[in-house]
Amino acid sequence: MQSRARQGSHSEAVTQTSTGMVLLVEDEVLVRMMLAKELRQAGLTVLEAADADEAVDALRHFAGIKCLITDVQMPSSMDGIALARFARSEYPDVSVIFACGNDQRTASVRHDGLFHKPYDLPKFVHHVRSLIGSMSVAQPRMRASSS
Amino acid sequence: VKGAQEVVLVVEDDILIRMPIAQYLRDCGYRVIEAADADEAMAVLLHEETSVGVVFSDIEMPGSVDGFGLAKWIRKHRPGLDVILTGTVPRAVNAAHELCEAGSLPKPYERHAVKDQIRRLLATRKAGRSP
Repeated sequence: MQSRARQGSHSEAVTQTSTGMVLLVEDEVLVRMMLAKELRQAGLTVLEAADADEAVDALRHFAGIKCLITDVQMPSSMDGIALARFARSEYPDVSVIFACGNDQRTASVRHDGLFHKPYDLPKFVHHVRSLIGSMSVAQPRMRASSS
Repeated sequence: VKGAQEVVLVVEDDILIRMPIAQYLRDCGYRVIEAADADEAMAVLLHEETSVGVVFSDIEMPGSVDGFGLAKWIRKHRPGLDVILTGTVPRAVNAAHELCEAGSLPKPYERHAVKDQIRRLLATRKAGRSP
Protein backbone atom coordinates (compact mmCIF):
# COMPACT_ATOMS: atom_id res chain seq x y z
CA MET A 1 0.00 0.00 0.00
CA GLN A 2 2.60 2.51 1.08
CA SER A 3 4.49 2.27 -2.16
CA ARG A 4 1.45 3.22 -4.26
CA ALA A 5 2.79 6.67 -5.16
CA ARG A 6 6.05 5.39 -6.50
CA GLN A 7 4.44 2.45 -8.25
CA GLY A 8 2.16 5.02 -9.86
CA SER A 9 4.35 5.22 -12.93
CA HIS A 10 2.94 1.82 -13.86
CA SER A 11 -0.56 3.27 -13.77
CA GLU A 12 0.49 5.91 -16.24
CA ALA A 13 1.88 3.26 -18.55
CA VAL A 14 -1.43 1.41 -18.54
CA THR A 15 -3.37 4.60 -19.10
CA GLN A 16 -1.29 5.47 -22.10
CA THR A 17 -1.48 2.10 -23.79
CA SER A 18 -5.06 1.03 -23.11
CA THR A 19 -8.19 2.25 -24.81
CA GLY A 20 -11.71 0.98 -24.52
CA MET A 21 -11.21 -0.60 -21.15
CA VAL A 22 -13.91 -2.45 -19.28
CA LEU A 23 -14.08 -2.15 -15.49
CA LEU A 24 -15.43 -5.36 -13.99
CA VAL A 25 -16.57 -5.14 -10.37
CA GLU A 26 -17.36 -8.41 -8.62
CA ASP A 27 -16.54 -9.54 -5.10
CA GLU A 28 -16.70 -13.28 -5.89
CA VAL A 29 -13.22 -13.97 -7.22
CA LEU A 30 -14.16 -17.09 -9.20
CA VAL A 31 -17.05 -15.32 -10.92
CA ARG A 32 -14.84 -12.30 -11.62
CA MET A 33 -12.07 -14.53 -12.95
CA MET A 34 -14.48 -16.32 -15.29
CA LEU A 35 -16.11 -13.14 -16.64
CA ALA A 36 -12.75 -11.40 -17.04
CA LYS A 37 -11.37 -14.36 -18.96
CA GLU A 38 -14.35 -14.37 -21.34
CA LEU A 39 -14.07 -10.63 -21.96
CA ARG A 40 -10.30 -10.82 -22.53
CA GLN A 41 -10.73 -13.68 -24.95
CA ALA A 42 -13.07 -11.37 -26.87
CA GLY A 43 -10.20 -8.90 -27.18
CA LEU A 44 -11.21 -6.46 -24.48
CA THR A 45 -8.91 -4.92 -21.89
CA VAL A 46 -10.39 -5.67 -18.48
CA LEU A 47 -9.74 -3.92 -15.19
CA GLU A 48 -10.77 -6.08 -12.25
CA ALA A 49 -12.10 -4.57 -9.05
CA ALA A 50 -13.04 -6.65 -6.04
CA ASP A 51 -15.43 -4.07 -4.61
CA ALA A 52 -16.85 -0.59 -5.18
CA ASP A 53 -14.00 1.14 -3.39
CA GLU A 54 -11.50 -0.37 -5.79
CA ALA A 55 -13.78 0.56 -8.68
CA VAL A 56 -13.84 4.20 -7.61
CA ASP A 57 -10.04 4.14 -7.38
CA ALA A 58 -9.87 2.71 -10.89
CA LEU A 59 -12.30 5.26 -12.34
CA ARG A 60 -10.29 8.08 -10.82
CA HIS A 61 -6.89 6.87 -11.96
CA PHE A 62 -7.30 4.96 -15.21
CA ALA A 63 -8.50 7.03 -18.14
CA GLY A 64 -10.00 5.06 -21.01
CA ILE A 65 -12.62 3.12 -19.05
CA LYS A 66 -15.63 2.92 -21.35
CA CYS A 67 -17.83 0.46 -19.58
CA LEU A 68 -18.55 -0.40 -15.96
CA ILE A 69 -19.86 -3.88 -15.30
CA THR A 70 -20.90 -4.33 -11.71
CA ASP A 71 -22.49 -6.79 -9.36
CA VAL A 72 -25.10 -5.25 -7.06
CA GLN A 73 -24.64 -6.89 -3.68
CA MET A 74 -21.10 -6.26 -2.52
CA PRO A 75 -19.35 -5.50 0.74
CA SER A 76 -17.44 -2.26 1.37
CA SER A 77 -18.75 1.28 1.62
CA MET A 78 -20.91 1.13 -1.50
CA ASP A 79 -22.94 -1.54 -3.21
CA GLY A 80 -23.33 -1.80 -6.98
CA ILE A 81 -26.33 0.53 -7.07
CA ALA A 82 -24.43 3.30 -5.29
CA LEU A 83 -21.41 2.68 -7.49
CA ALA A 84 -23.53 2.94 -10.64
CA ARG A 85 -25.04 6.21 -9.39
CA PHE A 86 -21.54 7.53 -8.66
CA ALA A 87 -20.34 6.57 -12.13
CA ARG A 88 -23.42 8.12 -13.78
CA SER A 89 -22.81 11.34 -11.90
CA GLU A 90 -19.03 11.65 -12.14
CA TYR A 91 -18.31 9.80 -15.38
CA PRO A 92 -21.43 10.18 -17.52
CA ASP A 93 -19.74 8.85 -20.66
CA VAL A 94 -19.07 5.47 -19.02
CA SER A 95 -21.79 2.97 -19.83
CA VAL A 96 -23.13 0.83 -16.98
CA ILE A 97 -24.06 -2.82 -17.08
CA PHE A 98 -25.44 -4.70 -14.10
CA ALA A 99 -24.36 -8.31 -13.78
CA CYS A 100 -26.14 -9.56 -10.73
CA GLY A 101 -28.79 -11.66 -9.15
CA ASN A 102 -32.40 -10.61 -9.45
CA ASP A 103 -32.40 -7.21 -7.77
CA GLN A 104 -35.21 -4.79 -8.59
CA ARG A 105 -33.18 -1.82 -7.40
CA THR A 106 -31.32 -1.89 -10.71
CA ALA A 107 -34.40 -0.17 -12.19
CA SER A 108 -33.61 2.90 -10.12
CA VAL A 109 -30.44 3.67 -12.06
CA ARG A 110 -30.22 4.31 -15.77
CA HIS A 111 -28.14 1.51 -17.23
CA ASP A 112 -27.07 0.05 -20.55
CA GLY A 113 -27.60 -3.60 -19.83
CA LEU A 114 -28.75 -6.07 -17.21
CA PHE A 115 -27.61 -9.67 -16.94
CA HIS A 116 -28.75 -12.14 -14.35
CA LYS A 117 -26.85 -15.12 -12.99
CA PRO A 118 -26.28 -17.65 -14.42
CA TYR A 119 -24.97 -15.61 -17.28
CA ASP A 120 -25.56 -16.22 -20.94
CA LEU A 121 -21.86 -15.65 -21.64
CA PRO A 122 -21.93 -15.31 -25.46
CA LYS A 123 -24.80 -12.82 -25.19
CA PHE A 124 -23.05 -10.98 -22.35
CA VAL A 125 -19.75 -10.67 -24.21
CA HIS A 126 -21.48 -9.66 -27.42
CA HIS A 127 -23.38 -6.92 -25.61
CA VAL A 128 -20.24 -5.50 -23.98
CA ARG A 129 -18.37 -5.58 -27.26
CA SER A 130 -21.20 -3.82 -29.07
CA LEU A 131 -21.27 -1.11 -26.40
CA ILE A 132 -17.51 -0.58 -26.61
CA GLY A 133 -17.66 -0.69 -30.38
CA SER A 134 -20.37 1.92 -30.59
CA MET A 135 -18.16 4.24 -28.56
CA SER A 136 -14.94 3.50 -30.39
CA VAL A 137 -15.18 6.64 -32.51
CA ALA A 138 -12.64 8.93 -30.94
CA GLN A 139 -14.38 11.01 -28.35
CA PRO A 140 -12.52 13.03 -25.76
CA ARG A 141 -13.27 11.73 -22.33
CA MET A 142 -15.34 14.33 -20.51
CA ARG A 143 -14.54 13.49 -16.95
CA ALA A 144 -16.06 15.46 -14.18
CA SER A 145 -13.40 16.88 -11.94
CA SER A 146 -12.60 14.14 -9.49
CA SER A 147 -11.95 15.42 -6.06
CA VAL B 1 6.29 -14.71 -26.60
CA LYS B 2 8.01 -16.48 -23.74
CA GLY B 3 5.85 -17.89 -21.01
CA ALA B 4 2.67 -18.16 -23.07
CA GLN B 5 -0.11 -20.12 -21.35
CA GLU B 6 1.67 -20.11 -18.02
CA VAL B 7 -0.59 -18.88 -15.25
CA VAL B 8 0.52 -16.30 -12.68
CA LEU B 9 -1.62 -15.45 -9.67
CA VAL B 10 -1.10 -11.83 -8.61
CA VAL B 11 -2.27 -11.08 -5.06
CA GLU B 12 -2.41 -7.39 -4.17
CA ASP B 13 -5.01 -5.38 -2.28
CA ASP B 14 -4.33 -2.09 -4.06
CA ILE B 15 -5.90 -2.03 -7.50
CA LEU B 16 -3.62 0.82 -8.57
CA ILE B 17 -0.64 -1.47 -8.03
CA ARG B 18 -2.29 -4.78 -8.95
CA MET B 19 -3.72 -3.77 -12.29
CA PRO B 20 -0.53 -2.35 -13.88
CA ILE B 21 1.66 -5.33 -12.91
CA ALA B 22 -1.07 -7.76 -13.98
CA GLN B 23 -1.46 -6.03 -17.33
CA TYR B 24 2.31 -5.92 -17.81
CA LEU B 25 2.61 -9.66 -17.17
CA ARG B 26 -0.27 -10.28 -19.63
CA ASP B 27 1.62 -8.22 -22.19
CA CYS B 28 4.60 -10.52 -21.50
CA GLY B 29 2.46 -13.49 -22.50
CA TYR B 30 1.31 -14.89 -19.19
CA ARG B 31 -2.26 -15.60 -18.23
CA VAL B 32 -2.78 -13.59 -15.07
CA ILE B 33 -5.39 -14.19 -12.40
CA GLU B 34 -5.95 -11.31 -10.01
CA ALA B 35 -6.77 -11.70 -6.34
CA ALA B 36 -7.45 -8.74 -4.06
CA ASP B 37 -6.41 -10.55 -0.89
CA ALA B 38 -5.17 -13.90 0.42
CA ASP B 39 -8.70 -15.26 0.84
CA GLU B 40 -9.40 -14.70 -2.84
CA ALA B 41 -6.04 -16.27 -3.69
CA MET B 42 -6.85 -19.40 -1.70
CA ALA B 43 -10.27 -19.64 -3.39
CA VAL B 44 -8.55 -19.51 -6.77
CA LEU B 45 -5.97 -22.11 -5.78
CA LEU B 46 -8.68 -24.44 -4.47
CA HIS B 47 -10.61 -24.11 -7.73
CA GLU B 48 -10.00 -27.28 -9.68
CA GLU B 49 -9.87 -25.70 -13.10
CA THR B 50 -7.04 -23.28 -12.40
CA SER B 51 -3.44 -24.42 -12.73
CA VAL B 52 -1.35 -21.65 -11.28
CA GLY B 53 2.40 -21.82 -11.94
CA VAL B 54 3.64 -18.95 -9.78
CA VAL B 55 2.06 -16.81 -7.07
CA PHE B 56 3.25 -13.20 -6.78
CA SER B 57 1.85 -11.78 -3.56
CA ASP B 58 2.01 -8.64 -1.52
CA ILE B 59 2.88 -9.20 2.16
CA GLU B 60 0.90 -6.47 3.88
CA MET B 61 -2.75 -7.11 3.11
CA PRO B 62 -6.06 -7.09 4.99
CA GLY B 63 -8.13 -10.26 5.20
CA SER B 64 -7.92 -13.38 7.34
CA VAL B 65 -4.20 -13.80 6.60
CA ASP B 66 -1.49 -11.62 5.07
CA GLY B 67 1.07 -12.61 2.44
CA PHE B 68 3.06 -14.63 4.96
CA GLY B 69 -0.06 -16.53 5.93
CA LEU B 70 -0.82 -17.18 2.30
CA ALA B 71 2.72 -18.48 1.69
CA LYS B 72 2.41 -20.81 4.69
CA TRP B 73 -0.97 -22.04 3.44
CA ILE B 74 0.48 -22.70 0.01
CA ARG B 75 3.44 -24.56 1.48
CA LYS B 76 1.01 -26.81 3.32
CA HIS B 77 -1.72 -27.25 0.71
CA ARG B 78 0.11 -26.74 -2.57
CA PRO B 79 3.74 -27.72 -1.91
CA GLY B 80 5.91 -27.17 -4.94
CA LEU B 81 4.04 -24.07 -6.04
CA ASP B 82 6.47 -21.16 -6.24
CA VAL B 83 5.65 -18.01 -4.29
CA ILE B 84 7.28 -14.61 -4.66
CA LEU B 85 6.50 -12.21 -1.85
CA THR B 86 6.80 -8.45 -2.08
CA GLY B 87 6.52 -5.81 0.61
CA THR B 88 7.63 -2.43 1.84
CA VAL B 89 8.88 -3.30 5.31
CA PRO B 90 12.54 -4.41 5.19
CA ARG B 91 12.16 -6.77 8.13
CA ALA B 92 9.19 -8.42 6.45
CA VAL B 93 11.07 -8.79 3.20
CA ASN B 94 13.94 -10.48 5.03
CA ALA B 95 11.51 -12.84 6.72
CA ALA B 96 10.02 -13.63 3.33
CA HIS B 97 13.39 -14.92 2.19
CA GLU B 98 13.25 -17.50 4.95
CA LEU B 99 9.66 -18.47 4.22
CA CYS B 100 9.66 -18.91 0.47
CA GLU B 101 12.59 -20.30 -1.43
CA ALA B 102 11.51 -18.37 -4.49
CA GLY B 103 12.59 -15.22 -2.74
CA SER B 104 11.14 -11.78 -2.33
CA LEU B 105 11.15 -8.37 -3.92
CA PRO B 106 11.12 -5.08 -2.04
CA LYS B 107 8.43 -2.57 -2.95
CA PRO B 108 8.37 -0.56 -5.08
CA TYR B 109 9.57 -3.19 -7.51
CA GLU B 110 10.72 -2.94 -11.07
CA ARG B 111 8.18 -4.76 -13.18
CA HIS B 112 11.00 -6.23 -15.26
CA ALA B 113 12.43 -7.77 -12.09
CA VAL B 114 9.06 -9.40 -11.38
CA LYS B 115 8.87 -10.83 -14.87
CA ASP B 116 12.47 -12.08 -14.74
CA GLN B 117 11.90 -13.85 -11.44
CA ILE B 118 8.68 -15.47 -12.68
CA ARG B 119 10.39 -16.56 -15.88
CA ARG B 120 13.32 -18.00 -13.93
CA LEU B 121 11.04 -19.98 -11.61
CA LEU B 122 8.95 -21.39 -14.44
CA ALA B 123 12.08 -22.32 -16.38
CA THR B 124 13.46 -24.12 -13.36
CA ARG B 125 10.17 -25.98 -12.98
CA LYS B 126 10.18 -26.98 -16.63
CA ALA B 127 13.77 -28.17 -16.36
CA GLY B 128 12.52 -30.86 -14.02
CA ARG B 129 13.20 -29.53 -10.60
CA SER B 130 11.81 -31.87 -8.00
CA PRO B 131 8.54 -30.51 -6.59
